[in-house]
Amino acid sequence: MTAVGERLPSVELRTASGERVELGAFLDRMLLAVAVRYYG
Amino acid sequence: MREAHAEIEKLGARVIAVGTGADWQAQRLMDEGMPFPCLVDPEANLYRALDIGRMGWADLLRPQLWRNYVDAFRRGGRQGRLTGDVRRLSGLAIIDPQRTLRWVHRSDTVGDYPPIAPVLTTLADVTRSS
Repeated sequence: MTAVGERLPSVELRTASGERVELGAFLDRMLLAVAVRYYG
Repeated sequence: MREAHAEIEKLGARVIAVGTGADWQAQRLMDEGMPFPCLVDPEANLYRALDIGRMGWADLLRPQLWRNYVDAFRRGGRQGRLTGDVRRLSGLAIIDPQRTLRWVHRSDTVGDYPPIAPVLTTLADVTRSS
């Protein structure tokens, strides 16, 4: 768990095409990450 | 979030959506015009890092969950196929380029998203202060 003010650990995600991507790839600027439930 | 995307970009920030569901669902969202990357997190790595929890089965009986479903239905949302971790809750986080967690909302039940206006205010505040 990361508290506000702490640095996040490495977080591996995947693109919709299955490629592995690290969260840092999106941190060239401030990031709003929305953790959602995909439906449909 | 889709409607607020232009304003978020104006603040100098970017958006990603992350879900534990299927890759084809993420792809379909983008094909249908979601203006930001929709990613998949089958191992719930981001959820664990942000301490976004899971519903207990008893939480299905909570009135707020059903109120959220009704509200979503009225806005045109329809329940589709559930994939991934169906008990996983949702959340929003603001993370700065140094990987520091600046703000987080951890949902309490399904459909518990904060209103966008205070999220934009918080985003503007943390962007100014960084």
